[in-house]
Amino acid sequence: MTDITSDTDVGSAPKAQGTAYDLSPKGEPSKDFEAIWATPPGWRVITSVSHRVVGKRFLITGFIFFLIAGLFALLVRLQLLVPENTFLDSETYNQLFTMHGTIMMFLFAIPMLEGFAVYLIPLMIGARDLVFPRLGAFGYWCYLFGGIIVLSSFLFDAAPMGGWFMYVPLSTSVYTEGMSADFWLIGITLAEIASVTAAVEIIAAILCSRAPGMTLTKMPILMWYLLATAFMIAVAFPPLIIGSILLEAERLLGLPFFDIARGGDPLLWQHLFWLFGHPEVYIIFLPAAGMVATMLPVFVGKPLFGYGFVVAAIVTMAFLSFGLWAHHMFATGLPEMSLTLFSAASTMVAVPTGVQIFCFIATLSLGRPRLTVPMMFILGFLCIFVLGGLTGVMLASVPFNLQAHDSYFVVAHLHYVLIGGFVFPMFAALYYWIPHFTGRMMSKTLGKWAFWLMFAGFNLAFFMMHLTGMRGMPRRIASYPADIGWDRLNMLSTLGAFILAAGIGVFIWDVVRHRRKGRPAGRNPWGAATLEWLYAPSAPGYNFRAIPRVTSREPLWDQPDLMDRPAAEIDGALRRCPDHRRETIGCDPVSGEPIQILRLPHPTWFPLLSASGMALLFAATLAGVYWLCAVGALIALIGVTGWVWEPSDSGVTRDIGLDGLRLPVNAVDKRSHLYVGLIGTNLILWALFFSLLFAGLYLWNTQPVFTEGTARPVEVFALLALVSGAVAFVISWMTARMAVRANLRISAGLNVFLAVALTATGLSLGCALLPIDPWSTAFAAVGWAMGAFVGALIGVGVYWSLLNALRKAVGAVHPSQGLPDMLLGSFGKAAATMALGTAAVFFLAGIAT
Amino acid sequence: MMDEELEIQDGRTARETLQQADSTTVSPSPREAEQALETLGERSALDIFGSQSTLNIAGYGADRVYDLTLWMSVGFGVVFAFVMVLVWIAWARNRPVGKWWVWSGGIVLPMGAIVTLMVASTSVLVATTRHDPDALVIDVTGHQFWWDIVYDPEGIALRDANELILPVARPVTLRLRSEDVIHSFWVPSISGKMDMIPGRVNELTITATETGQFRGQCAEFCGLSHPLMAFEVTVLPEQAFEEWLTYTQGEARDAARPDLLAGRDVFLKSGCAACHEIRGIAEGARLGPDLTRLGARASLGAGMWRLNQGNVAGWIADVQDMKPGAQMPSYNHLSGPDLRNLSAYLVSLK
Amino acid sequence: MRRIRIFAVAVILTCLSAAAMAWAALRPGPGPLQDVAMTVDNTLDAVASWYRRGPGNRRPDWQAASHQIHDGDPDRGAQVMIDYGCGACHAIPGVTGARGSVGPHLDGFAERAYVAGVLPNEPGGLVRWLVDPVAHSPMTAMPDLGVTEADARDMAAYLYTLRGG
Repeated sequence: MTDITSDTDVGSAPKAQGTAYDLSPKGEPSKDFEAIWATPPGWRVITSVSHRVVGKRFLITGFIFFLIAGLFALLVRLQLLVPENTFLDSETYNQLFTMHGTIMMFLFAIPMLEGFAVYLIPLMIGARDLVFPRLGAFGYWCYLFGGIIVLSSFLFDAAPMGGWFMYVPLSTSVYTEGMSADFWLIGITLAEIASVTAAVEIIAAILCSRAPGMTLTKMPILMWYLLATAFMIAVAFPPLIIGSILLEAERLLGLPFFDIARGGDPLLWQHLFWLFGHPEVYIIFLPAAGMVATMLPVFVGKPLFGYGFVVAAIVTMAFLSFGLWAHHMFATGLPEMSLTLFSAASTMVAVPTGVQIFCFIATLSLGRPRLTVPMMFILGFLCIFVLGGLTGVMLASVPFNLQAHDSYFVVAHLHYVLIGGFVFPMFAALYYWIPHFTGRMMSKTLGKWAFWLMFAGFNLAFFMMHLTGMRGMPRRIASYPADIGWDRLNMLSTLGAFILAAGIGVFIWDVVRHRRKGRPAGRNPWGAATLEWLYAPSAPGYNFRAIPRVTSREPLWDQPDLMDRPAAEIDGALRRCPDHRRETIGCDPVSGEPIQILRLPHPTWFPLLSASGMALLFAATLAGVYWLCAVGALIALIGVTGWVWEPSDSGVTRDIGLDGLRLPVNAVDKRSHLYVGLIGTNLILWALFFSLLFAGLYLWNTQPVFTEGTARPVEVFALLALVSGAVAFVISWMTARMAVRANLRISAGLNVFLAVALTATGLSLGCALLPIDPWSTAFAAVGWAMGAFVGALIGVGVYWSLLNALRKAVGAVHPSQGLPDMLLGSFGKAAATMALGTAAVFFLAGIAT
Repeated sequence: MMDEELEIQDGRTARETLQQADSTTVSPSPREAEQALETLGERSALDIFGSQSTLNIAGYGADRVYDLTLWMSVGFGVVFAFVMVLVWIAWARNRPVGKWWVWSGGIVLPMGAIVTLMVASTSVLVATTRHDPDALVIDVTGHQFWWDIVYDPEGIALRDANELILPVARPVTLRLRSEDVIHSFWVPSISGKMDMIPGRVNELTITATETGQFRGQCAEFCGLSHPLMAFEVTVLPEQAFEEWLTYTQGEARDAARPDLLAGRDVFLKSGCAACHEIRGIAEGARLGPDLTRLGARASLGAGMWRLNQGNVAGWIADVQDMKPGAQMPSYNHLSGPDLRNLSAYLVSLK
Repeated sequence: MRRIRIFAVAVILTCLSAAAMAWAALRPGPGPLQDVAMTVDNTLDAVASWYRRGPGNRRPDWQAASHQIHDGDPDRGAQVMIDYGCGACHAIPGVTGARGSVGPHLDGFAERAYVAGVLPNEPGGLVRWLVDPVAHSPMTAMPDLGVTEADARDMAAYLYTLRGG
């Protein structure tokens, strides 16, 4: 965080850079403010990149996936209604539970929280859109295409059936022939792109586009939750992405990452998977808890109790969640010492969770709570989640875990945590925010029915499973014997599942019904405190006609000027739009004071084009049509180039209409949203790099015999890579330094030099790897994987530097517009450092005998 | 605790020889041992309520974990009720509570619970994972979807499958391996589970404390017929166990009737011996379960069906239907009489 | 008044859920609570077997009279068929785990004209077949399972309840 604010003059009026330099053709002078922000009409709405549109797309798509996966769950329960049932055969059953877990985790929970985040963040922090709207749209399309690929496996009769955890060696091509596992790996990896782009998006949006005066401590509590979640996504998803790519490479190319005969290790997959899989649970839970922390104070009528406590708990939880992945692996024969350590770390999570729960309970005592439908779901959350949390602490105890692991006790626990900790808050949130989508209120009577059916059905279905598990029933079995004590319990569970489904059915019916017959919501129907309720529910696409100054954590309660007059007349920044561009205020990440005007993109085809290219690339890989992969990659490249080609906007200074501030457009500053976004991206890249490094170290540690026998990289070339990598680093550093006061000619030269140095580094690394046969051992294959990863980074770096040089050459850049170079320099430093790390590893491996 | 459920049956010829041997040795309760051996394989755990339950304790590990479970359930039940009461109190009152609520409820209470739990849990862990150098060693190897079991691999190396016979009150170290994918060895009544991972050997030391019939099952999803991968566990009195071990080492029982002899010939000429071993008849094959004492097992197909000729015949004729994804092909090309004789022969192997 | 109502509903719900849990957790067998549990069981068994068999055609049938076995107990018949392992070869609706495809599907057995193509499908013929199939059809693959005549009657009684869709 420190280097964001370094060498900047916080809060002061920025230097005027060039007086009236304006590349006006970018704007749409023929349109007024309303028209600029209008959603494109008709089918052209798919070009919209507005967070309001994209957020709703995420929510609706996610909910549809929720219904599909729920249907699968009902089929699974129907199969288990009676012992030795023949309703489904083993294969179908395995496909259904695999897809149930996969869809719920990857295509429902994460996208749903992204949907809420994308929709709510700008509204709650007083921005007109996210800072990277096109990235959000791109993520959505990747998610949609990925989801379609995964689901389409049913059409090809090749649905994945290896469990949502895809353990090797079961999921390798030896034990899972055909395409089923490939559908999973490729589809889910595509969908994960949406998660990591959302992480970058959320980090940059929350840190860089808050309303004037909204310091970090005045942010709505949900923003803290989402910020922590985004950082967790950035660190947690890379291990899974790496794992999936390694496994797909093993299936497709026969590389031996997990093959014991050639020095691979099945446990490596489990480590990589759970390094992602455990934080994933908290990634799902935290935003849901954040929504509870947002709604609860509204219904109590008083601010949240212990804001500081909650923030501290969130941060603690985010860190702790990375230290307990191995509690999914207690039965794999880990040493006793690590068992105890992971056990202790797992139980520690109870403390930050307890702090949050007690803050929620204490909030209830502050006033006279109203028992609305969202409030009922929140109470349901408290009841179910606390129970699930307590069984979670039980499961953290190793001896108990050895009995309960992979039994129905765990099924009960995880549904208590995920349904209690995510689905109930999500329904509360849907009831709470639905006036925002439709302008009408949902029925209280039907809401009560939905809640009680869901609550009773849920408990009936899943409480029984604790007992079923203690009675020894393992998970993931399609049939079970009749007389050993599981039949009655399963029958009740199935009954409960259908009652739960009936509750969801009531909710859906109410959603359909209320759009016509619901009571119009009016302005701020719940009496909420946060900015998204400033307008009457259906706020216009620009969110805020003028962005008001925020002086309180509960602006709508504490700032009477906001609610006293019509929302459109409230004073604030950027009421005027002389450039006819979509704009919002960019802020200092800590103080929230305005530092720049952010230019936002208008509707565009490029995200859809790039995502289609990506989808084509992935689908062609799946189908084994490799020339089509090249076409897909080319389309994606064209899309990205068109996306980033847009003339740079910085270099103009303008009055924002608030406190007489004159602010630059897209400031060349380390507090820029682009720079913060790049830090997020670099975080993801580092996590990817360390996942690979972890894989190598792990194999080196557990398979010493095979690593001994692996051929070594050529030291000379590794040394050469070290040298050229160091050169690339220095040039990157110079590029970043030069960005602010650049001479175009020199910086273009630097760009070309950087491309050359990076290419040299890549070539040297490639030569160092040449004597190693990646098919010989897993260790060798991981070496090649590291080389390929760094190669990909270098490819991006070269493309980027040449693009920057080209833009300067054709005159698309003005001398004061150094932001792209600043970003390139920062990326170049990260890429060069990772190349240096890889080269050092190769060098050490080369000289070690 | 299952003793009263074992019925006394008429002795058979094979058992009679054992009874004579039994009378010469010293045993704390010869009658009990005798009974246990007589009734071996008579009743499948499939017919016993709670034979696979962690609450039906028959082993040291399960016992200690049961105590832990009980205390955790009671303790956390109280905590849960307490929190719900607090929610109710907080709901009912309009006066703000102090920060001490969060300190005590959110930090002190969980910390206290955690420390207590960790102490108890670690002591149980240490007690249940203690290795005993004198323990009997049994190799268990998981296959898709059956269990290969070798008793005392360094000594007598008696090979059997899908049924684990254990002595009561004697520590046994199981060396767990896998031939193909990850499986997990779990007998809930006796001890916690341990994964069987290809390329590794995981050791699990268990001690049965009650005689009787129990059921174990693979707990790690292992493919198409994962639900059909279970096994029988019979805990015998120490004395009976030793006798069983001695007796079972021998070759398979001879075929004594014409149909059984014909069945044996079918076994040999149909290629069954390429995968299955019957000691004294066809030795050396290791790909499928050992069939030397198939008829004496309590169940068929890795703990899934009651052992009788009908099921054996159906199994041979259509394995892929009964256990999809199993390695064994369906032998539906055998003639009717061949199938009858083969199934009769296999069931006669005790 | 409203509070009392809520309280009453809560108590009733709690009792109901406790009863359901007790029913689910109890071990089958004699005991004070078991009569109730078994009644629930039997009802649910009926539902379960309806679920397995499908709604089907429940018209009275003239054949039923000729198939009546007076001393056969169909429920016990279904149970002993599990013990003899019939289900490994035959798919038998309503018998747990019976889905073999080695021998003929026994759904609609009451409508068949012959047993195994050799004996007329009457109670006497069916019982004789079950007791000793090989005697009636030397080349049959169906083993002599050592079925007692009493068991065979019960099994026959059950098989004649299968009238097909």
